[in-house]
Amino acid sequence: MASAGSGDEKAAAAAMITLISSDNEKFEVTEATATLSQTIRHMIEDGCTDGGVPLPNVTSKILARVIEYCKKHATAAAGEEGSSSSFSDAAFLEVDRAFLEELEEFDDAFLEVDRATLFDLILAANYLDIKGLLNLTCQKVADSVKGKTPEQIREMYNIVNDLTPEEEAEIRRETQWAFE
Amino acid sequence: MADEAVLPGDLIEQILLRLPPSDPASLVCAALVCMAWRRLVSDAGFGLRFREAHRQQRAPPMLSFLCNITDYDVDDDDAYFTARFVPTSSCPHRDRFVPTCPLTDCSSGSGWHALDSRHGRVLLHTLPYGAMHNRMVVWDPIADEQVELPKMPQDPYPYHWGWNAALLCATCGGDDLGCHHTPFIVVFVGSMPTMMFARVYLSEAAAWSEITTGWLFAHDCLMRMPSALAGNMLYFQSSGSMILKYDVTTRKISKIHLPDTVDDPENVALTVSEGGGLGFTEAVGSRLYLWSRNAGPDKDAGWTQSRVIELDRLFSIEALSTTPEVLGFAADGVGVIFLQTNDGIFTVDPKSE
Repeated sequence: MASAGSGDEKAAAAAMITLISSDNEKFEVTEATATLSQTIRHMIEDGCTDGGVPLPNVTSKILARVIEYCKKHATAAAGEEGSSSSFSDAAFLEVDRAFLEELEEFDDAFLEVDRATLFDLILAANYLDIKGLLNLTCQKVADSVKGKTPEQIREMYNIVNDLTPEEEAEIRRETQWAFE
Repeated sequence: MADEAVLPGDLIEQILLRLPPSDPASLVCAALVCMAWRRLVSDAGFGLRFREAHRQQRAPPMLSFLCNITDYDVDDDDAYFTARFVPTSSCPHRDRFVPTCPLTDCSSGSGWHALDSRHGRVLLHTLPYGAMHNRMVVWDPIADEQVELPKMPQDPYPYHWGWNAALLCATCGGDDLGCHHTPFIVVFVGSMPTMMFARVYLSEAAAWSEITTGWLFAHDCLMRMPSALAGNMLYFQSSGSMILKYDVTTRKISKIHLPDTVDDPENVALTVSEGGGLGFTEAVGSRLYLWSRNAGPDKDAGWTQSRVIELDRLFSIEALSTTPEVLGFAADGVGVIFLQTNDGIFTVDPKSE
């Protein structure tokens, strides 16, 4: 991926940001990478990033993964706010097709995580306001729920059924077409 | 599992909003998972947000279509016509999308025949064709509600030359698909060799209007193919090149014609472009020809052939051993053409490459 984006990346490399995880680990990242997070972007704009940005809601394990995602997507998103959404996006179309495919492969591999990590990534993406990552991770869960029975979904995500048998029967009666 | 992250409701909603709109049953399954999920899915705003989230992904999905088919009863020589619901959704839990189906409960023993469908509502009528005994219902399959229309007043003219009817929303401009419970209009048109007439049913008034007539000399019988609504104009096909044009606003009747080059006017479906322009599609051999109506006064405005689709790239040789039959066109933003081939019913999307 040493293509068109690398010039911008070098220019931005001058400005480095330090992110501090909840367990006090420090991560040095470029501003271009960090500003994929709208939360951090606003902090930079407000000039309150000196001495590092503490992220008390994100562990070092999850922050490392989030930074991995942001580094990869920073090139595609250069100059484009929140453009790493996989909902159809004009900015994407301008990017080289091969790079797009590479990005998709990266995303697929990135999502090969256990359920707890996936949920932590969703929480981090939401807290850091990284639209692309939030979309990617939520879509992954939605895809896993799609076509499953309620019992299978509960088992997969360790959810306790707190509907009374009457309530459940009522929903099933109202939506009988879905179970025929 | 004790220290596992629990997602707050707004993030669970972010997940549920990404369930595929082509599979409504997956939302039902989600509602059955637990109380919190049920609350999220049944929240009044969820439906709106769900539609908004998928707005960019082109038109709403086609979940099913109605097809008028002929069954033959082994004990009876009479053909048995009936409208069938054909699901196209991908849900693995079911093979049909039919709430209590009103299509078979007709006491006369004959089936219901679908005439028209717009915005999630369907207009059906009973056979036999003897118009005096004709019953019509407007059915909302999602809500499973049906309204039987009162009998039409006795018309002074027989329907020897055919009739047809169309179903419209009385209030919305045409693009809003969330108008299930708004008033509707049924436009009934009949034809005689020298005259056409129309009668309108308004659901708000729950009554048929007086007839409006148009003295038009036409040899062609009206066919019961779905009508096309382009702007404020309704178009009804005939067995020949004539197309009856009905102005919904002024209730005036006029006619236009298909180009002379159309070989088989019965194997044509009227279409409406995304911009709202009238068109038609014609199958000849293994080709599908798309035409659009030129702007201009009715008498002079012609047609322009806008596209030719080579069907042999899409279908097998067996499917195309005879010219496919053009069954109809799905408006409401779906914009696909239905073709009956020797290998079954197919849809062709004229917008795709």
